[in-house]
Amino acid sequence: MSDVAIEAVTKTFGAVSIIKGVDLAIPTGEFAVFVGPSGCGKSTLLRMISGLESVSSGTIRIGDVDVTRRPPAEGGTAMVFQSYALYPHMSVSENMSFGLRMNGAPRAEIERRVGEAARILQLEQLLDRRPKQLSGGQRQRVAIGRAIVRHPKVFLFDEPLSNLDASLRVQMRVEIARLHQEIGATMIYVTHDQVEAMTLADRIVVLNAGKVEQVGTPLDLYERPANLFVAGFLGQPSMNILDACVHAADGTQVSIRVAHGPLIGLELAAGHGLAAGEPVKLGIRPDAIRLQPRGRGEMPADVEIVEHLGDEVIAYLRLPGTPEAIIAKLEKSSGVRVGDACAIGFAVPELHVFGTDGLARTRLAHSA
Amino acid sequence: MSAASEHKHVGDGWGAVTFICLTVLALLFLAPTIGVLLSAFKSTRDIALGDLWSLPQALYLDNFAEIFANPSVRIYLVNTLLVTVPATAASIALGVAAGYVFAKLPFRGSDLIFLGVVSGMFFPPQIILIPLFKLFNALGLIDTLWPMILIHSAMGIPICTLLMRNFFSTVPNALREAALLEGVNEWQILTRVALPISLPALAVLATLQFTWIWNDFLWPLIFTQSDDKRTIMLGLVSLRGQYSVAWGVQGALSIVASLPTQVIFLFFQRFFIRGMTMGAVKG
Amino acid sequence: MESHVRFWRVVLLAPPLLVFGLFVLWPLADSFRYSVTNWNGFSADAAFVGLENFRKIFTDGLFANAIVNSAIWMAAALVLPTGAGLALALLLDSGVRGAGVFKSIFYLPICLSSVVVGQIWIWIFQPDWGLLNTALSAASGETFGFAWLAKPGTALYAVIVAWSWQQTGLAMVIFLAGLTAIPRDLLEAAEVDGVAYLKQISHIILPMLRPATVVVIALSVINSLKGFDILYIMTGGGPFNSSDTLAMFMYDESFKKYKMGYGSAISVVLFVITLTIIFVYFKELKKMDEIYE
Repeated sequence: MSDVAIEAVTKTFGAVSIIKGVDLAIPTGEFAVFVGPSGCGKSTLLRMISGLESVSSGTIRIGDVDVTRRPPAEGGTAMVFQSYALYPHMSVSENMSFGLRMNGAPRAEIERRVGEAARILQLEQLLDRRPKQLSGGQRQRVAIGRAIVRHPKVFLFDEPLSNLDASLRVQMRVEIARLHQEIGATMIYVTHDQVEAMTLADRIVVLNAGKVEQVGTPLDLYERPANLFVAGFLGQPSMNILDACVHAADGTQVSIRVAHGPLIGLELAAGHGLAAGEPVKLGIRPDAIRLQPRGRGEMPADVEIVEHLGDEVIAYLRLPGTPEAIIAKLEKSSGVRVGDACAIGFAVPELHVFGTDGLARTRLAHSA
Repeated sequence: MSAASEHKHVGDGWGAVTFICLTVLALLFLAPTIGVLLSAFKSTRDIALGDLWSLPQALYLDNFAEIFANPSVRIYLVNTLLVTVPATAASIALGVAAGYVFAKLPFRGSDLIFLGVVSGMFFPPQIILIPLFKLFNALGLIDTLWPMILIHSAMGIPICTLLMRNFFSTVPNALREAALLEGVNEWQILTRVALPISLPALAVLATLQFTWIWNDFLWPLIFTQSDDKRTIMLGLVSLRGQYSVAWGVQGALSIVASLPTQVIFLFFQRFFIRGMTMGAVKG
Repeated sequence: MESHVRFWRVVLLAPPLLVFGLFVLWPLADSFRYSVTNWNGFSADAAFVGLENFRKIFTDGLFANAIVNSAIWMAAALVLPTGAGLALALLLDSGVRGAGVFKSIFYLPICLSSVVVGQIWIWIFQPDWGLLNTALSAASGETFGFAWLAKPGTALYAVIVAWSWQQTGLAMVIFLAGLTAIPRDLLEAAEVDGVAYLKQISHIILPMLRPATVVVIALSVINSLKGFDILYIMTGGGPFNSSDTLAMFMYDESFKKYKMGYGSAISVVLFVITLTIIFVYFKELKKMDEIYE
């Protein structure tokens, strides 16, 4: 078990740069999740930590050991692949013990470790089966078992659940969370699925175009996205982003006029750098939108489409005379119907302010 | 093989026509082989009297008895085995090694080297006949089995490399990476992971190489002089003089010489065909 | 990681490349070297004669004869195994009963040694009781005693027929593989549209078989250049060199007349011809890849 330190790491293929300078420290025992759109470099970064991918510049340390140029096996990592990567001609126990056998571990030790992994993952009944005779979920458990057997300092998961169907995915997700609680090792998990990221992670690392956008606990990232990318990437449906303009700025007190909407006053942390007349973006999560009768609210809207999800309702609203659409997540008791003419109300404390640089401006807690 | 049975035109009389056509063609195609088979079971006198194409009245085995009484035949067969088995094994081993590098450890320019090696299988052997003759002459290996073993090992490399590279390419990279992460070295990955799942490709190569090397005529023609170094196909030709009018004996000899490859063909026909088409289409 | 990979690349690639280089590439280069000498195969020394051998080649009537015969063989290779193989593949792919057995029968000759195939066809062409003359006699009512392999007018063609018999199976399986690759729904769509089977062949199947056809033609042509064993067995290039091909001519000059320098020059010509064909073939394959990917 160990901490992972990534310093100024880059990766280039010829003229193409995949990882553009990443700094990251993952403390011992943490469950870190790399999340981001496809092509953002999250898998490449994981493979660089494992040693499978060479590092163009920068250093990677596991524990106190610089593993930047080490062969994969010496970094003390174990990886679980998306495709499981089980050896098709070996039984489950042979799959799990292969590495130990090839490295000449004593038999008793091999048996003890395989037994231990099989117990943790409830694979005892399947030890003599071949991968072909297993279901997708069982195969993934074997792949995890093969990692456990190595007693690695760091577990690496490369989109391990994306080959499974939806219900199995939920089940395996819970199992992986349980596994982390049970063995407490450092784990790094790559996924493009934000639900996996939110539910599994101690800390989420949001990557985009080879750079870290933000690092933090799931709740941190959800409640205080550092920039427009993270704001739009996490949360389902995505955060609404509205055009707005600074009406007046006086110290920490700033009033902002929403295009086609009301004037909102709020308090921003010092150093926000906003001046009157400057365009900004306002972000608001769909569940922070309130629908009010037309006339009372400040922002008139028409309900275009209504999706019933059972416990809640997603409403697609259009501001009259504009191309802008706003998504609201409402309770099923809201009784909203297509064609309703209504007005949008904001929960001002839940508004996010982004400057033209795309970065969030910190709200002060007691602002009104 | 194909889903062609779904074709509708089979049902409406075309099927019968096709079947008859194919039967006639098959008989025509088989006629030469049947001729040899028949001759092997007939006396030279019967054949000379123009009685080749009728079914033999009784099982006449004297031709085979004649062959097996001939000590040369035994030597030819043993020599052929001594060449075929090691050369088959060596060419496959070399092809496996090269194919693994081209499929799993490619490097800048490796595709070009691969293409160069593979195109080696298209050239007529005459092109390197003289230098090889000179080389083995200098090595003092003329009139031994060594030139055949070495040349077949080398000339088998293109097809073996091609097939193995194509097969190894279908083995997921993640398998190799998983093993690497477990501290398994490349040699162990090749022998314990890649090869065990490549048994079908190995079977294909074994049948192809065995057949080609067994059937070879040119190299023993160039490199052997004395009777006790000849392989069976060369022996077949040299015995033509001895049995010049004993057509039945010649027929029996042809059958015996072809038996090993025919047996392999019967058992491994699918591998054989797959190998030929793989080699051809990907070439 | 990189150094480890480099190590295994060298360890694994060195033996095959060494063997291939020593017994194939180096001799190939050597052929070029000998082609400008008058080496006789025995003497330790050989004089440099420049391009004399090549000059001789292009004035040698026997070489011209061999080139013409090789061209005839090549032309036949374009037509005979290709056509027969395609016809058989289409018949077999129609879902006929016993397709597997038929396939084996047509394929069987390919794994026979050329020596045995030559032997078999010597008997077919045998003047007194060979199958061909027996059949002709039966059909015409007269006694037919033509010596096919002993007459300059027919010897080459007789060998080509025997060779084609052996090659047809190979063409057939390649075409069959090509037919299997044609998506069935394409033909079913045509069927639903009421396209007759013969029209399906000419409008869908044959165009889709182009890649397979390129492969078959290239292999047939290349194999025709390699044709030696069967020729050696059946005619030895005779009578009076009437069935000599380049491969045979090269063997005769080098190993019968011991003109190894001259023989090497012929090898070089053979090499250039083959290289040209392979070049065209690879280019064609690449084009196919782009169209049919």
